[in-house]
Amino acid sequence: MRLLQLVILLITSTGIVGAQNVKEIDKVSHIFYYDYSYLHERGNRATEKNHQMVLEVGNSFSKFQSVNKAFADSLFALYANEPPSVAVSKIMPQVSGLPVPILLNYVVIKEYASINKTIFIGKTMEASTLFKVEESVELSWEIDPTRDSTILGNINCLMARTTYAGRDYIAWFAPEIPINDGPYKFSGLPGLIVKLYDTQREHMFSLNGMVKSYPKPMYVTTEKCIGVSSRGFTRAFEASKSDFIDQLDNFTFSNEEMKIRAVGRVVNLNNLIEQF
Amino acid sequence: MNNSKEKARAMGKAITCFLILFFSSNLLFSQTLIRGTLYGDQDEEVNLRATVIAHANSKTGDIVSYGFSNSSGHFELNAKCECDSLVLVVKSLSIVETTHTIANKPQSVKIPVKYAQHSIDEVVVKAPSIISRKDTTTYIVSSFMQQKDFSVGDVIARMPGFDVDAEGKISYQGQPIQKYYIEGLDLLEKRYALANSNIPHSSVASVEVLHNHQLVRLLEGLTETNQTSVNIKLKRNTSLTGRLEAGAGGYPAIWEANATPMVFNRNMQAVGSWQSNNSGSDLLPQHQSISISGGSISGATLLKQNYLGVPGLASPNISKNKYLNNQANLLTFNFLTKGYGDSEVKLNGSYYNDWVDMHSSITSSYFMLDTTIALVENQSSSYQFNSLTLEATLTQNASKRYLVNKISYGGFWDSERAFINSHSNQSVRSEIPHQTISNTFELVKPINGSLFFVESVVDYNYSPQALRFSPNALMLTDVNSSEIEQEITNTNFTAHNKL
Repeated sequence: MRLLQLVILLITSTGIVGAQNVKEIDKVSHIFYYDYSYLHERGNRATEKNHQMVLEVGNSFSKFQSVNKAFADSLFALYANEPPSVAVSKIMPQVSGLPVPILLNYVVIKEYASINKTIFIGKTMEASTLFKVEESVELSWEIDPTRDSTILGNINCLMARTTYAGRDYIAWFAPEIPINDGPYKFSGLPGLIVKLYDTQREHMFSLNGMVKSYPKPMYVTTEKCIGVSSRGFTRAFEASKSDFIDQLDNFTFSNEEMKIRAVGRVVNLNNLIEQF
Repeated sequence: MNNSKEKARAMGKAITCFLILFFSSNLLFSQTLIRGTLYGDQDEEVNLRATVIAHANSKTGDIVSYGFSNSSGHFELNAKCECDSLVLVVKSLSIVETTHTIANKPQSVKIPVKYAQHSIDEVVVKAPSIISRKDTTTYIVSSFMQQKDFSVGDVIARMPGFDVDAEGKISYQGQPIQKYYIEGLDLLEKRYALANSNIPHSSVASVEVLHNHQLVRLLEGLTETNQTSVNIKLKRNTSLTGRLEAGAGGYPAIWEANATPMVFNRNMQAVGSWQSNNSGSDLLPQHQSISISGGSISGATLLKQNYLGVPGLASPNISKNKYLNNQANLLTFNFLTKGYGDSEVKLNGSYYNDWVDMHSSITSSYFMLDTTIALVENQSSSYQFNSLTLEATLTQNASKRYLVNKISYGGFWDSERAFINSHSNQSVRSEIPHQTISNTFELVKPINGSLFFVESVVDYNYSPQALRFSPNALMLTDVNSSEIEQEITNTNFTAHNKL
């Protein structure tokens, strides 16, 4: 099991090192932190994980990703002018121990100028290839005026419902925060989405902090990506799982049971947000 | 033929009916299409994505529609509402919030907006600091810690419901805690002060209070208990932690040193400690394993009996570390490992060495008519403590059987000396060694639906103690000796068995 974790860690960290060529698209003005709890395996509460996600909002773009990925990205920007070997030697010690979970190895960029346009850049378990999903996520939100709530001490929220990629979602948004954005690909409500979960509670995002940012640059990778549809990425993820299981054959495990468990963990890694 | 005609007619009726319903419903929720443009001070187009919300009747009314402006400031709303008027609220981070009231009919509007940068109040949310779930209350350590804290004990002392006394004993809601677990394992038993004052709070995630905690798993659900135990949850499953500090200073030389390495993981825990000081920190509580909880004394087999001793001195009513003049060394080693089938093996060893000096001076003045009589009595006592305790414990706490067997050895080589200086000088010395070896056995087993308790304590004590006076203080003896010696040797063997 520890070996598997090590393998996953290695893969994710090489993934971090891979993304190097970036360009600035915007300046970040506000940063929102979301506590994200999700399951690895559909319907299995025992596989619940937690991770901190961050939504950086600029004037015309927003970027949503794992805090560890954001941290690694900012380090790469810092050492951008150093030769790669120097940069890696400076960055690796700082990011080791801060792995990006395998299901969260993505960045979601929303472009405010064209409503609903989202760009998802992510990796499957085969971490050397970047996939890019450009799509128009059209969510029809239904606001429930009878339900309101207060969170984070003093922010008033309203409830809205929608359906996206095989799940029904409930969102709580704050009209007093005039940012039409939210976690992952979700946006389009008249206020920031502060809490979002599917009705099975397999994915839950809750805002747990907001910070004004000094105007720091927002970067996006310029590495070569393979353009796919959202459905295509899900398929690619499934395919990468089979490849990974094939690779597990080359590792030596202390006993057969360990191997079966390792394979089982990969097979059961099936709770992507999109379920087609 | 006729039949099918009727069917067609019925179908036609149904369709008409449906159409009427459809239109009437459409009439009920008539839609108002509103097109609008946002423009700025110089009548220019506003290139930003602002939110336009349509409320019914007033600004606090229900949201009936909303939309977003595009790059040329245009927006479109489809309001579904029976109200007379609509209030459009335009919001964005870079404009002033603008309200515009219009009648509820299709129209196009122009709304002037003013630029202004807004910022949103910063909010940082901390995890809830106390979480209660069934019989467990979890205290998140980071919510209670302060800058000056070092150990988890410092933080526990600040948690509501807890009291930690000077010796490091923890009480929860006024009742001493029963067990101090670290990751569910009871390594230090009653010597938990050692861990409590040496585990840095930075390696502890939370402190769990287990209410109504039944130690014996076999008795769970059979007998009720109101005892409370504490479980320390570490941040990592395997962690190497501890404390290393040294300090020295002043004239006369003062030192304090503490090296307490600890290793915790799921199957093995080890705590070692070497502490030394002459600065008044009492190390004895970390060494002795005697405690009173739930009305019974535990660890009493290692208790030492003093039959002889030098005259005692009164202690002042201030905290002990202010007046204690000591030279203490403590070396402990504790090891616990999990075996097969819920069994645990535990080894605890502790060596304590201390040299305590106490001085007292009493001056009594008697004021007579013609004179004043002053009596001065000085006493200097020094106490030397040397003791070694070794314990090996085997525990099996399974759902079918509860078994504890503990072998303990305690060796004490203490001596005391006092010089009493009043009208004459006198010296008193005592040698008060004590050796004890004991075995405690406890078994609980269900047989045919009833529970059998077997308890056995076998204890052997040997204490050859002696007290010497010089000069000879007893005038009645004719023995012309400069010293008087009193000896007492106590040897006992106790076996206490119960079924």
